[in-house]
Amino acid sequence: MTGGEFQESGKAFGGSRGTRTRANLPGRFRTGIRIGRIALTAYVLLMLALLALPIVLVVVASFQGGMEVASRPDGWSLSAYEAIPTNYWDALWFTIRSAFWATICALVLAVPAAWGLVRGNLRERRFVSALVLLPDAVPSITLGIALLALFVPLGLSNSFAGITVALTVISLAMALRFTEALMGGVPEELEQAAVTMGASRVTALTTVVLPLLAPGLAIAALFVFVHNLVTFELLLFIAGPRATPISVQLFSDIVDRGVLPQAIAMSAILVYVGIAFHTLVAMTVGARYLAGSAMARKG
Amino acid sequence: MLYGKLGQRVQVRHLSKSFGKISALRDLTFDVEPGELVAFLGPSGCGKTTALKTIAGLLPGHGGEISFGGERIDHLPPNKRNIGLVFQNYSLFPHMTVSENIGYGLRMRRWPLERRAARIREMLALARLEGLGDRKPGQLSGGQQQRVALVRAMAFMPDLLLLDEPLSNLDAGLREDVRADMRNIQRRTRQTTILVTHDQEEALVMSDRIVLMNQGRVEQIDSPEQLYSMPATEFAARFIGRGNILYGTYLRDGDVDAVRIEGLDAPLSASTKAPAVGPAGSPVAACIQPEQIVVSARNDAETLKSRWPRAFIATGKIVDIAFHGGSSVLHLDVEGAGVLKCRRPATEVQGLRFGDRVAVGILDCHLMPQSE
Repeated sequence: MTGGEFQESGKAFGGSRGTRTRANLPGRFRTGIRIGRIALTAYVLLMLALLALPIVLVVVASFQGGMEVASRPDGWSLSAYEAIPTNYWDALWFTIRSAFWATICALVLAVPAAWGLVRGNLRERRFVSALVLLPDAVPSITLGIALLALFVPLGLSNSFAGITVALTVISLAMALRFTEALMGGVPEELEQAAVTMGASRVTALTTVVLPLLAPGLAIAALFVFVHNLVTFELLLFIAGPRATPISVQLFSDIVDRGVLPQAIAMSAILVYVGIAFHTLVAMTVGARYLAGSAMARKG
Repeated sequence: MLYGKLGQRVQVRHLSKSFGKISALRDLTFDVEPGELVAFLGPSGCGKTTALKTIAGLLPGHGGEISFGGERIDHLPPNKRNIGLVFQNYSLFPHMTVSENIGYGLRMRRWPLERRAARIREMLALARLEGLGDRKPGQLSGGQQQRVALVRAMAFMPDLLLLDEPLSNLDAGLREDVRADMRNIQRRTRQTTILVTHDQEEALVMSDRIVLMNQGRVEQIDSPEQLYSMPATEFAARFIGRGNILYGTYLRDGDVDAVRIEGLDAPLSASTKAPAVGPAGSPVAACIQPEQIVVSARNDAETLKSRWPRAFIATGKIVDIAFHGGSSVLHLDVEGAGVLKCRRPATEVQGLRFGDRVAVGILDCHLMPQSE
C-alpha cells in the first residue's frame, strides 16, 4: 500500500475527527493484522500439539514403565530408568563424546571459513554458501550410504573416528550457516580499527571479532551439539558393534524387541540433555541471543 | 613532552586509486606539515574517503608514494604504518572498556604495563573522561564516544591522524561543542591530522589548510581564508562560498583588473584573480562575496558614489530580506545582473523593506576561469 493511498483512506475513515487513531486505520489493513494473529495462534497450537505434547508423553511414559500405560495416572516409578542396560549408557557416553568433538571440529573449521566468506569479498561466495547447504538438501540416508562406501576402504566405519568425522561433515553446514550470519553482524570497521592500531589481521580476529562472536558461537555450538546427539540416518550404516551411537542403539533394540521401558527412559534422558543444554546456554549468554541466533539461522 | 612527539612531515605524491575501470583518485599530491590539520573537502563521491583509506592502507593496490619524514610507508600493511584512524561511526570495541579501547594500540605495540596505564590516564584526561575508564562504550553519550575514538587513535603517538567525517554522527547542537573540543585537542597535542569532511563550514573552522577535491582530483589547496576569498576555480567558489557568480569577459587596463558583464553598462573592478585566468579578453567567472555589495535607499546613489568611488552603481529591488542577528541578508534583483545576495550589518540596512527599490553598489569581485 502506498503512502498516498493510506492517507486518503485515513481521511475517508476518520478525517472528520482530525486525528488518525488505530481505530480508523483502513479496513484492509486491520483485516491483515487479524489474519496474522490467527495464523500465529494456529502455529503455536500446532507446535504444542505435535511437538511438545509427544515429548511430554515420552517423559511421562518413562516414569510409568511403557507407552501403553501412559494414560493411567498411577504407578509412577523409576523402574524403567533402573532397567537401562550398560550398553545404553555406553552408547550415550559414546554419542556425547563424538558429538562434542564433532561440534568443536565443525566450529574450528567454520569460523575461519566464514571469515573468508564474509570478509574475503570472494566472487565464489554465493556458490560456496549454496554448496554447504547441500547436506540439507540431500536425504541423510543417502549421505549415510555414500559415507559407508567411502569409509569402508578407509577403515573408518565402525569406529569412533568415523562417527566423529561423519558428524563433523554434517555439522559443518549448520556451523557455517551460523558463523556466516554471526560474522556478517560484526562491522568490518571494527577489524579495520584494530588493524590501524597495529594488530595483524589474525590478532584483530582473535582480540576483536572472536570475543564479539562468542555468545553467538555458544548458541551455535548448542544447536550443533544437540543436533549431533540425535543424528540417526547418517550413522545407521557406518555404526557397528565397536561404535554405536545411542540413536542407532535405540533403533535396533526397538526393531528387534519392541518399545521397551528402558528405551523410553533413555529417550527421556536425551530430552533432559537437550533441555539442560538449552537452559545452560540461555542462562550464560541470555535468552535474547537464543532468539536472535535462531532468527539469523533462518535468514 | 606533554602528549607525544612532534610528528613528521607527511608527503603524498601522485596518489591514485581505481576500482575496476572507475578511477576514484587521480594524481593526489600534497604535504602536511608537522602539527598541521589539513581538511579534505568535497562533495560526496569526490574521492576524499578513498584518499583517506588509501593513505591508511585499507585499500591496497594504489599508485603513487606516501612518506613520513622522507621515509616511504606505502609498501607497509596498515598495521605497520603508524597511522591513527577515527571512523565515521567511531568503531569502538563494544566488549572492551574505555581504557581497554584506548590501550589497544599500546597493547599491540607491547608497551610495558605501567607506561600503558600512564598513557591511558593522560588520554582520559585529554578527552575529559576521567573516572569513565571502566565504562563500556555503550554507556557513554555520543560526544563522549567520539572523544574516546579520537584519543584511542592518538594514544600510540601516530605519525598521522586521520579523521573520517568525525562529526557527522552527532546532533547538530552537539556538533559545535565537539568541533571545538577536537580542535582544542589537536592544537594542544600538535598532532598532524587529516580531516575528511563534506561540510565546508567544518573545514573552514577546523583546518589550517584545505585540499578541495572534485571527481577524484585536487581542485585547490589553500588556507581557509585564501580558499574563501580567492577561489581558484568556479567549482571552488560555488562549493566554498555563498558568493554571487556572474559570467563575463576579462579586461585589463594597465595594472587594474576588471570584468565586463553582459547586461551591465560599466565594467566591475576586480582586485584579485585566480592564476589560471587567461589573457585579456578571455571568458571569466566573477565571484562577488555578499559582503562586497552595498545598498542604500533609491535616491541615495550619490552617497554610495562618494563613499565608494570605485564601486559599480546600479539600481535594484529587494526581493528578500532576512535578519541574521548582527547582519542582514538581502536578495536584490539588480538590473542587468539578476538576483544577487548581499550581506550588510543590520544597522546599515535599517528602514529598508521588502519590495523597496534601492541603489546597489558592487565594490569588488574575484575573477576565475569558467568551468565547462
